[in-house]
Amino acid sequence: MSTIARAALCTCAYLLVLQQRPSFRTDVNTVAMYATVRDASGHLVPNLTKDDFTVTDDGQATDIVVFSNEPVPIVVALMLDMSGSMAANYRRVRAAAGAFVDELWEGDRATIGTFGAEVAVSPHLTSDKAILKRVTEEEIWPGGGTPLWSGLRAGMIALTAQPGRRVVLALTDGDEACPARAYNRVPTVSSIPDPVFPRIVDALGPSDAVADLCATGPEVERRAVMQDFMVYGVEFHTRRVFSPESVVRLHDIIDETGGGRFQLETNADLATTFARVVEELHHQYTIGFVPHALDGKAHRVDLRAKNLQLRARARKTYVAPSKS
Amino acid sequence: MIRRDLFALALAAVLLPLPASLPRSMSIALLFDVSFSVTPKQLASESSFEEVIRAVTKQFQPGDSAVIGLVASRVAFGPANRSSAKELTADWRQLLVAPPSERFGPSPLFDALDAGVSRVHALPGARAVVLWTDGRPTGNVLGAEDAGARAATAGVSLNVIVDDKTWRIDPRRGPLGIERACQVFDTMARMTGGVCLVNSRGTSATVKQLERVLEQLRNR
Repeated sequence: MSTIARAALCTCAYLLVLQQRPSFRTDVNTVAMYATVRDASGHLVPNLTKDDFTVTDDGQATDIVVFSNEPVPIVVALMLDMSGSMAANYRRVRAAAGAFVDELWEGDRATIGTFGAEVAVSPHLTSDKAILKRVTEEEIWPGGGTPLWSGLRAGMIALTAQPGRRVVLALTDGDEACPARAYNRVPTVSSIPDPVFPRIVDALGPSDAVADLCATGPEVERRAVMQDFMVYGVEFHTRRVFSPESVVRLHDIIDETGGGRFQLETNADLATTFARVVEELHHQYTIGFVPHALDGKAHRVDLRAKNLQLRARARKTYVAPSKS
Repeated sequence: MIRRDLFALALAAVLLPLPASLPRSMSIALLFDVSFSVTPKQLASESSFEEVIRAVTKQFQPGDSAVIGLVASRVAFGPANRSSAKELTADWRQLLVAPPSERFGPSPLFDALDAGVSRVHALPGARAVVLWTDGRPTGNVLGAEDAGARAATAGVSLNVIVDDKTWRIDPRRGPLGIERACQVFDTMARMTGGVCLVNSRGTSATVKQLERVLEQLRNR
């Protein structure tokens, strides 16, 4: 079978799945998980059945009431770190973002955002590749610091109204450094005789107002867990080195939400890595279970493949619905 | 009762064709990007903004007017129908007090140009939007070509001045920032008979170019 024929068959099957995919609306108390399974050599394992998994909810075994190993359309915010340190790579990032768009299937929807001097997300959450390509060509610009947490928060906000699986995929090369904080260090009015500075400082208001612009790691983690986001991270290792604090926090968020992390060396193929992320998202299992207690509290959930040679990855925490 | 000789004179004046060289009036929306990517240092150099305002109003003749707009996550416009640099500068200062949440968000510059078009398209004479920016459009509903096409249909000329000394050009990889930014704006500017100018040789040289562009616009 030719590549084109295979692609056409794949797309047809996917469109069929779009109509048949499992719905969690039948039971508002059903908790959804999206799981990735890889074998010992790191290859995706997409053809397991419900009986191949176990789920425990706060340590208690629970039944899987919804299961599907069919592809689920992707709803993703691609957030690109465009801080000054990425300037030398910004053409590559732009090209890779275009390649990411190419990898999307019909029915997938994406929006593209950047964080650097500003945090910006395109208002277009769309499956229209022409629009997404336009955004990659016209709206990706380098400069500024690395407001990583604000970027992740903006990506989540952009997807808040979307039902089902929501993914924030961040490409970043550095430590959190929110440029808005720098405005707290604007020289005092007396040291600069220009009449505009006091206006800027006045406009920004007290430092708390500026701090609100800069999200924190714990805030982002809380939002991601409470609102059921999956966070993916592609760490782009330039000459700068991640501080342990940023890395640990980012990894925590990714692991807690069942997302994935990919590390890239400076010369690595970014487009291929984005393609791997898209492939993974297209081959996740949809699993639903009923929580053992409707207490409105955070629960630890553990999904495992019965075959110990396989590694299942999914969210680790969820907030149970409350009885009322 | 009107005298016959005066009536003849008045009739002749009415029937006289307008001289072909009589300049048209001009209506301008003057937009300034004040988003966070425009650094405090750039904002502090108020003289640049004033120079642009002066360059525009210097061209003004009776009947010409301008409106100031400041661009952050959205555009805030000052009062319409201004004709002096003093009024426009006062509007600029008044508008600068934008909430920080708007300034740290996206810079939808294409949408802002389109908003500028909507401010002037119904006004008489030559109409133009002039945008002063660091050249980083983000978060736009409209693409550059969409905005350019809408402006061209409305008969409004789009003109952009990209000003940011922090942008670099990588000799091995070609234009990295500012030149690339002007490529994006140039497409839409050309569709409307406008220009994108890079402020690389100092504000004075750039505003002189802008003056020539506006002069051509009036006489087109």
